[in-house]
Amino acid sequence: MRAFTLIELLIALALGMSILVMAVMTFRSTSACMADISRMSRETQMLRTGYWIALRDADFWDSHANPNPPYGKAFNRVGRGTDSTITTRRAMAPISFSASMDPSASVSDSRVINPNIFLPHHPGGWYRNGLAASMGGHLRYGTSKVAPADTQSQYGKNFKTGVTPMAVEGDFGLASATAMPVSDRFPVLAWDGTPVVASGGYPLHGYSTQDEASRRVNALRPRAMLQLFQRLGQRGWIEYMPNSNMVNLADQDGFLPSYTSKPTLSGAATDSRSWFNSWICGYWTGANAWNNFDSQPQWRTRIHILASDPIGIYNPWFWNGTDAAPETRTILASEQNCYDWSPIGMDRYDAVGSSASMLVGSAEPGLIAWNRADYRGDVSRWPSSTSWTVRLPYNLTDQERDSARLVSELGGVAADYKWLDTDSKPADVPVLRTGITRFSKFMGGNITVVRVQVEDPTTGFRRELTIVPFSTSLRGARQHWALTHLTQGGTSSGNDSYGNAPIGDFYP
Amino acid sequence: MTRHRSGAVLIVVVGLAAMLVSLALAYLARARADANETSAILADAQARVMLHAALMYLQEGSRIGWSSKARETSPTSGSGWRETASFDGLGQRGVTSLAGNVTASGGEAYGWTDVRNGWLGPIGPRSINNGGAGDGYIPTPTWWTTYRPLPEDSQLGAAVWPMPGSVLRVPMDVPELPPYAVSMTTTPNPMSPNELANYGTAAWDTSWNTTYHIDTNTQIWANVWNNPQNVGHLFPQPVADRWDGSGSQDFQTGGLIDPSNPGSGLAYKERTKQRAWFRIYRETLGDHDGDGAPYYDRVRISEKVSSNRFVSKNWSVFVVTAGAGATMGFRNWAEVTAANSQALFGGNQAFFDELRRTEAIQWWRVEWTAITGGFTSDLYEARWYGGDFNETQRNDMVKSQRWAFPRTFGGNFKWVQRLDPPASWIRSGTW
Repeated sequence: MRAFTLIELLIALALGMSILVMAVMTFRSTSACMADISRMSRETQMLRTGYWIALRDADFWDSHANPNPPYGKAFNRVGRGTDSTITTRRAMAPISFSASMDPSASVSDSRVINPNIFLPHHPGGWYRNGLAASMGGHLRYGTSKVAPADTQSQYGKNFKTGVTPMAVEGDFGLASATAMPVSDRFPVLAWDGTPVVASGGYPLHGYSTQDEASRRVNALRPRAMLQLFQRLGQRGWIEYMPNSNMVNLADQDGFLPSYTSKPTLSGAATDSRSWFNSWICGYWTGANAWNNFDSQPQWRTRIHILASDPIGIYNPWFWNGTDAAPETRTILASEQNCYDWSPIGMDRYDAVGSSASMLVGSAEPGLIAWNRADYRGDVSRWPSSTSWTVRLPYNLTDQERDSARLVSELGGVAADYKWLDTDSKPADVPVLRTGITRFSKFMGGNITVVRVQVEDPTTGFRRELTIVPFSTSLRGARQHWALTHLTQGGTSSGNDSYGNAPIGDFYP
Repeated sequence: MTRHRSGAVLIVVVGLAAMLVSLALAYLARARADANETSAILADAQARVMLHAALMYLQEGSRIGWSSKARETSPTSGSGWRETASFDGLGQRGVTSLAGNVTASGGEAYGWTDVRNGWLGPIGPRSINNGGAGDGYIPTPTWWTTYRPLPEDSQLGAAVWPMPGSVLRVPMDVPELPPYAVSMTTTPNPMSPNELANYGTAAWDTSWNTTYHIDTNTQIWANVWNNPQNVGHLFPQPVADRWDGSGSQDFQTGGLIDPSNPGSGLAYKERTKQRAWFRIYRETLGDHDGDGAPYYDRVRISEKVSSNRFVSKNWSVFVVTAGAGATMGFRNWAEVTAANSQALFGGNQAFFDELRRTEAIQWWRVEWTAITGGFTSDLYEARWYGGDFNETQRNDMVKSQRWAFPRTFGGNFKWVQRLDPPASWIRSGTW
């Protein structure tokens, strides 16, 4: 009779246990592995979701314009007050442009001059790229004009600016209208439809004298610049200028346009120099502010005085004698040195769990005076560019947003009802955040940086995707949002069917 | 007594193996799903690259690439401007002896809306005839035989590129060797040594010895440039070896399918075929008159037109469709058949429709401008000199303008706007 010995039994048990342990370990390992795979897949999926959100943000400017949660940027489209009220400037403020570029028409209908004025081929847009062509080309309306046949020599060694054709070689402007027959020049007809009366080869634009024609045409550009700046502020103004545009805020006679008004800021100086500083440079303190750009921490506008400037700072040293055409006395060329510009209010979304207001407040602790421009709406350049919109699971909902209703129904005060739900998230669920920073530069080369971040509270791992996409420009975004506004039943002055205020660019 | 075999261990092992297999399969399935979903991101990125390509085309096409020669395949796609004996091809001041091959290969244009006078472009440089007939006049572009400088939409010719209202469709397969490839030969920025001297004359050469506008190092550079090895030192001619068409890998014809047969067409890299394309629609005036048709037309960027009134017309607005896929930018099968391009898709509409469903497409609207950027920063510094400039200061400025600031000689874009998918790409539309 056969039987088990104790040893055999023990060995059998040991082997069996080993196999069971192995099986259990394998099962546990498999389960853990599956969990890891699932988590990694989920995080990858969140990254992908973040990609689409971030790219959409880059293309459609949600973080700057979208009034809906989680962006809540309705304030960015607030209508402006008067020309001299800079506290209402917003990058997305509605603008109603004139259909015509006729100076008289655009003023009489209280609209902003059509931005086509900045096109280099427009007869009112005398700046054609490159100094030589602009100054010495046929669009010299003053009393000391240079005949077309002479402009070549003006480009050359006799051109007192030191700007030779070589400097602008390859420019459109170089071969613009020099020695071009009258019949090939523009305009064909004057602003008001009367035939051009050429005198010495120069059109009158329908006006009775060359001075008058010159004044009207030259007034277009500074007026349009100022109107845009008054409504959009620093960044918006830049975006409507062509690259390397020249700032031209005064008319040919050196006067600031009469339709402008000085800002009513506290401490604003009364002379035009400070006027310029405060409006264009966002810097209004001190009589000698002009010379203190390098101390300007917020942004810096380097002003190039190309001629006897209209605001009385420098003596004419560029052109003199017969080469001094009147319009050249008014040119200021600006190179904008902008640092990192972040969207307005984005930092507030960084304040997850904090008590910081999600709205634009009347006071901003820690910001020095000129940083107040940040929430005046021009542009924001925040000291920290780490601004994030938390997507999961902190979504702002309409119910949470409606604090007034909650207060009425549940009592308490609005501050009791958080904009972001920071408490209900399961502890181990990953968090998705997206951020966007837009860098602006006057001479082009704007850059948009979008970031997607997924953080896993279980492992502590954080994965970040940083993308620099080519995307919609500010003006393109303004056109997009105006289109959306109109599509949703709004008008250039009326809210849409969801109660949102007008936003962006409107044309009659 | 019968001995029974025990399968317990085998069963356990099989179970373990099954778990491992299931784990592997689950992992592979996850990875496959992730890869599938990520491919949409790749396609999106590819489409965005196509936007880049389209914008670069618009920048370059505003100035270069237009020849008086008809294109190889069809006279109707020939582009360029009229060539005359007095046409210097480059529009250089004071240079009148550049006729010949430079002229024949075209020259420069001055923008989609001509920067010189606001005419419909692209148009070539003014003719120079030494005071003779036509001197100083802008030539008539041959891409439109009955050209009108400032046409209304109703006066436009047939919708052949670059006519407003026409479409350019560009597959972005990569050639093995593109035609007119750029060689590594140094081509310095062109500098006219003496604006009054004729090219090829003694005065032209000797003037390099002078300090006329140029610093004293000019002679050194001239010696370098006059070295025959430095091809094209006087004017940028970025073409090199075997320019004349001899040889199998010619820079003029590009890499051909049959190197011995110039008519065999370009050879493309297999891996790049049917991956991406862009399509450009050039807007008519009516497309940006703010009347809401098409749906995005809420921007009035041409001067309001009325009888006998000066207008500033704008033909520099484009709708770019950027795609990552193989449809070559055809919206629907009707477009394919209209272009007689069924063979691209095997004559199979179902296949084409499937390609349409699976590709990534983005729509953008852009406005080009002739402004080229860059500026004279040194004027800011120079103002501290006071008074007029001396020669050194002047040269400093010239140098700085040339080198210090990036310029995009093909113009720039005033704005870029992403469009929501137009209904016309879902249903058959007209734009």
